[in-house]
Amino acid sequence: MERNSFAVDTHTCWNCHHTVDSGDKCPTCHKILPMVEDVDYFSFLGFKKQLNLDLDELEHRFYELSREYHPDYYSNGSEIEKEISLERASFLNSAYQILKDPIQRAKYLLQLEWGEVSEEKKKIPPEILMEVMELQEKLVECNSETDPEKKKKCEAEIEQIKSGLLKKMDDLNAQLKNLFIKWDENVLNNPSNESKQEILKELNKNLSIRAYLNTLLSTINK
Amino acid sequence: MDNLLQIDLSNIKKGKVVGIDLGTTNSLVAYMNNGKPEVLKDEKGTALVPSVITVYDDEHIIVGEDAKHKIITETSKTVYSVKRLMGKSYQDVENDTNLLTYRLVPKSEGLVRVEINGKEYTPIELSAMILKELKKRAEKHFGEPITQAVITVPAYFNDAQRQATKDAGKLAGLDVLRIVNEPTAAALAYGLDKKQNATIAVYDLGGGTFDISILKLKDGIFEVLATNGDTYLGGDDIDRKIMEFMLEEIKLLYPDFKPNPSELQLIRDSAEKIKCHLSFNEKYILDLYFEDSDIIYNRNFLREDIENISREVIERTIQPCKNALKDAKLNPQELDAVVLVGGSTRMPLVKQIVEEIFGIKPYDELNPDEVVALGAAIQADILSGGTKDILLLDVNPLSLGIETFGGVMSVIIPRNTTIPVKATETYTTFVDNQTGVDIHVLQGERELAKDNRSLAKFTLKGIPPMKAGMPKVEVTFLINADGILQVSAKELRTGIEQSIEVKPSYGLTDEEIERMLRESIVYAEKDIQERMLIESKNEAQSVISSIEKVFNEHSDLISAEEKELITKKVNLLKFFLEKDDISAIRNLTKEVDILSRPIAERVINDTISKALQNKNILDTDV
Repeated sequence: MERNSFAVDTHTCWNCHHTVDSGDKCPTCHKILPMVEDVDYFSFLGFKKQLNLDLDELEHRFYELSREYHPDYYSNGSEIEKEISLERASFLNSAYQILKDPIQRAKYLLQLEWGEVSEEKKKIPPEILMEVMELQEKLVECNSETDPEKKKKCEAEIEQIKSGLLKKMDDLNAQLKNLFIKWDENVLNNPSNESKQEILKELNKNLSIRAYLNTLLSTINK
Repeated sequence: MDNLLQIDLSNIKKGKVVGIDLGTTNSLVAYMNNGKPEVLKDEKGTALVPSVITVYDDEHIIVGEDAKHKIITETSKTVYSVKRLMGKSYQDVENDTNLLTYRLVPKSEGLVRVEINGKEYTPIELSAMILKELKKRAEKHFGEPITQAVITVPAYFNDAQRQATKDAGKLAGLDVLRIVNEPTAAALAYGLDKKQNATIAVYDLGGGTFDISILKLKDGIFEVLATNGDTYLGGDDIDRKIMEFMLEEIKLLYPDFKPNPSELQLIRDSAEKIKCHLSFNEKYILDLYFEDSDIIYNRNFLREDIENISREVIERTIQPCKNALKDAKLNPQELDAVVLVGGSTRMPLVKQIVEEIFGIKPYDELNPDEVVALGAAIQADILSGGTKDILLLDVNPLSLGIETFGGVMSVIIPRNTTIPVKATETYTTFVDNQTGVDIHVLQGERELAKDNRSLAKFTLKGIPPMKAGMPKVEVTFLINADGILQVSAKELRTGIEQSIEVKPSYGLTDEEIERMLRESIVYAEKDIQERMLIESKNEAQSVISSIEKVFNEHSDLISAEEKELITKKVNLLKFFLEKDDISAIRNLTKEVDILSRPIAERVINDTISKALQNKNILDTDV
């Protein structure tokens, strides 16, 4: 979408040319203003970069801002207003979608802090390498097994691996909960806190193991 | 005078925005009347317009009840269930042609076409004919041109089907302010009625399509959590099952029976009648005579018979309901209500199956034929700035993405994402020195590109030769509030950019629409405008002559100021009558009428009291 056409100058209003601040409406003519470049999902919804969010409050703010930005309310507006409303409403919807889900929220925070996660960090985490190998073997074995007795035994073993994986998932959930608390306690109000990078690393590890576990579990369920 | 003119012109209201439910079986119009949605009825008090069209030639087209009556005599000229053809290719609907009584043009490419009198029509043109009829009815009712509308579509309609509906509106001379999903519209009407916070499911089984939507209603916000459905499942399919059943039975008795189109239509007609009758009765006595084949078929149908025949069709709604609940992350117990919409939900078996799925007794108090149009009228009101209390947050029903290496679909916007929404993904090249990238836009839930609906293809050209994996192609999808997609692609290293409005593979090009508009609507529109002008001029003349009569005969009842003001307005009105300015004429007529009302009252009172004095009421000329 072309938005530079009207966002030439972010310090004056496109409509009345008076000075504007970083708000969403012009203080003088009250017209809706284009988004500023460096806004993130958290600040857009009025939150700090926090990992624990009150979901009722999040929903409330989402609804309130929807009432401000939704294109339905700009149907009679100018083309510029329509475009800004579309841009703001789209961004709002994406922000809500990501923030309401704790895992997506954590991933997003990582991305904000680290930028794009590099390929190197996407390798199979060594913590579950064993399980991955074992499971692959068992699956092949099970599929090629024709003897019903042995097949049954093989499937039981897969079930066992599965419950092991589910147990691991529970551990990951507990750990993630702790990381959320740790981040909010230590980093939220003190971005230069020394534990910051450590927490992010742990977070990244937790998320990538989780992603692999999910893939494994869905392979089993197939 | 200048001042007066200014005030008058600013008073000229924008035209009404109506809500239109363009259905498979019936269509109707609704509008807001003093904050309440109402369906538009004709002189006979009927709101439903059968979505049936008889085409004699381009100048002679009948739509609605009259066309429905022609279905057996003018079988090859009469088209029904057009909605099921919207955005489809011939291949998509091929399997259904055997029981269809009008002719589809066998074509390998593009949008399916219907052949009538040797001429080919797209479903878009045929839908436009229905919309034109609805527009005409609304204009007759309001006595003013109607140019803006909100039109509803099944929630599970894909991009091509939405575009097709919007194009049909354009062809009918309507500016389609918004395409709204039918179950969401129904929820609006339900929510406005109930005024309470709740989580509800809307089960919408119409003539041709099935939708299930789950919504959260909170303080005027209607947030769709998930939607699912089948755009090729509805009452038509139940009718087909009954038809097939009847045909089989007749063939047992008369193995040589080969029904001609009009006989086939008779069977179809009876199938529908039996089905509808047995929704409220236990028994139907069928007595059919096929004149051309000289065959008699009579039989008693019990409700149970029809339920056995149609159960399989209705059970196809179960899985979509389960999928929607899963996507909304809800258990059936968490729902406060299940609202029934669409004519097919009148069948007791449907109610029973819905209750089995959700574990609660469905809410069937709404008129299932009207509620969608009522909701469309509410949305029309929101868009024209009438109300700010209500807001609809809808979702895209199907995942959108592009084809990547190996024919796999890469999802860019997953299904059930709140719209409008914008999403971006970055891709790269697979071959050294690749200078163009094909972007194949897809919609659907399957893993492989070939199993999904192809929406559009375009090529981003002019990428300078680079090693494979070097170029960074950023693909951006933007879904607007109509649920219609726009795609753009940009190579980040060079800044080469290409943006396309996705023109569906099974739709019309802009040029085609332009041509059709030129051919048909321009003239029809002019006719309507002319007729309207004449009507308003007549009305203005009659208002002027009656006020002048009062001025002459009852000058004692009118103050000088009153007379001056009204005379000014009348003179202005006469001025615009000369100029043929329809909106000014209309507006001023209304003003003069309102201004002269108190005078008229005084005249009436005066006449009555004079008459009472004479004790002879019968002599008064009130």
